[in-house]
Amino acid sequence: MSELRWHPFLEEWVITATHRQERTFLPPPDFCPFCPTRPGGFPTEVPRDDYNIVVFENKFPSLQKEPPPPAVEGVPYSPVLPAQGICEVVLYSPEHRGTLAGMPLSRIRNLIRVWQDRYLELGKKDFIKYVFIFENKGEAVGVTLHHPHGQIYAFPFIPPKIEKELSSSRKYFREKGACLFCQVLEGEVADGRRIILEGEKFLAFLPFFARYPYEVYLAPKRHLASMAEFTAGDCEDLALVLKGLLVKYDSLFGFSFPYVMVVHQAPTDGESYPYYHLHFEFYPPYRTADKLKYLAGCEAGAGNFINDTLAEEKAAELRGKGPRNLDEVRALG
Amino acid sequence: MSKEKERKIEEKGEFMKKETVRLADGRYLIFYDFIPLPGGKRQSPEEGGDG
Repeated sequence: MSELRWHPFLEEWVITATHRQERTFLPPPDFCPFCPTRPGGFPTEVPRDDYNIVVFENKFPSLQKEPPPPAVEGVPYSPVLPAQGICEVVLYSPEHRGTLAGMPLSRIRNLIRVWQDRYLELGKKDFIKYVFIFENKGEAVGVTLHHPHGQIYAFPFIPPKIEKELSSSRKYFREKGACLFCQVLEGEVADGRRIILEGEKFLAFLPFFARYPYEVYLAPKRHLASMAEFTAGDCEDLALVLKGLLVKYDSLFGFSFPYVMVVHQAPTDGESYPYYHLHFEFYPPYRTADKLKYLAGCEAGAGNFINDTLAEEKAAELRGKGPRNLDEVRALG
Repeated sequence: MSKEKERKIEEKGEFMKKETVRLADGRYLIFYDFIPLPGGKRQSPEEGGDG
C-alpha cells in the first residue's frame, strides 16, 4: 500500500510505502542484488557486468509512475493522493566493494554526467516537480545494501526542505537583489577558516551555521541553479573537489566515513528560480571516532539542531586530513 | 528482458552511450557507457563546453 497523506500541522506530504518493509536487508556479499548476474548464479537486478554506470527503477519504490489508488480515504484535515513519482537506483560500478571516495576521477566525472542526464530526463516529465539526487553511505545512516550506489527520487511536489530554502532565497533576492548562497560563498571565502577544499569552479566548506560536526556544503562558485547548466569543465572540477572531500572524510578516523549526501537544485516544475543556487550537502552522523550524533528530542521533536562542536575547529580538523589540494587529489587518480 | 532503444550523446572527444532495457517485471534499466572517440581528446576544464 502506498499513498501521500497530508500532515496538516507541518503542511507537508508524508509518503506511506508499506511494501518497502519487504526490501532486501543487508544480504551477504554473495547474494547482493546489485551485483551483475553471474553465469549459473541467482538473477540479480543487473543482467550485465560490462557497464560503467547503471540506473534502474527501484524495485521497492516509495513513489511510482503508475501508483495504486490510495488504500484509505482522506479526512477533511488530511487529504490523500496517489504516491506518484519515480524512484531510481544509480549503481556507481559493477564491483561490489568500493566507495565513491575510492573511485577513479574519470568514473566520478561520468557519474556527474549521469546525474545531469537524469535531472534533465526526469525533470521533463510533467508530473515531476523535483528531482532529488542523494546517497546514503554506511549502516550508521540506514544503508541496507553495501554495493556502491546512490538514489534519485523524482517527486510530484517540491519537498519541504527545498521549499524552505527557496522561500528564504527568494526573500533575500527580493530584498537585496542578490543570491543568498552567493553571499554565503563570498563570506566563507573572505573568512577562510571553514574552507575545506577549493577548486577552480567549486568550493567545499563547513558552513558557519553547521548543524552536524562534520557537515559540509559543496557548491559552484559561480551562480548555477541546477545541473542542467553544468559544462564539461564543471563536471571535471566537481569530480576533483568531491573526491577530495570524500577522501578527507575517510582520513578523519581511519575508517570509511558514513554520510548522507544530497543535491539541492532548482525544481523542474516549469517555473524560473534565478535566486536559487545548486549545492551539495553532506550530513555525516559521527561526532567523534566512536560516537554518533543522534537526532534526538530537540532535533526530532522541536526541529532545532544542537551542534556540540565549533564549525571553525571541525573545519580545521577536516582540512588537515587527506589531500591538501587538488594536485594531491589528482595524484590519487 | 527486451532492448528498448539505444542512443548516443556526443561530447567533445567522448560519447555518453545510453542503452535502455526493459526488465521482466516492466522496470527500465539504463546502461551508461563513456566511449572515447577515435583520436578524440577530452575537453579540458579550461575549455568549458556544453556539458
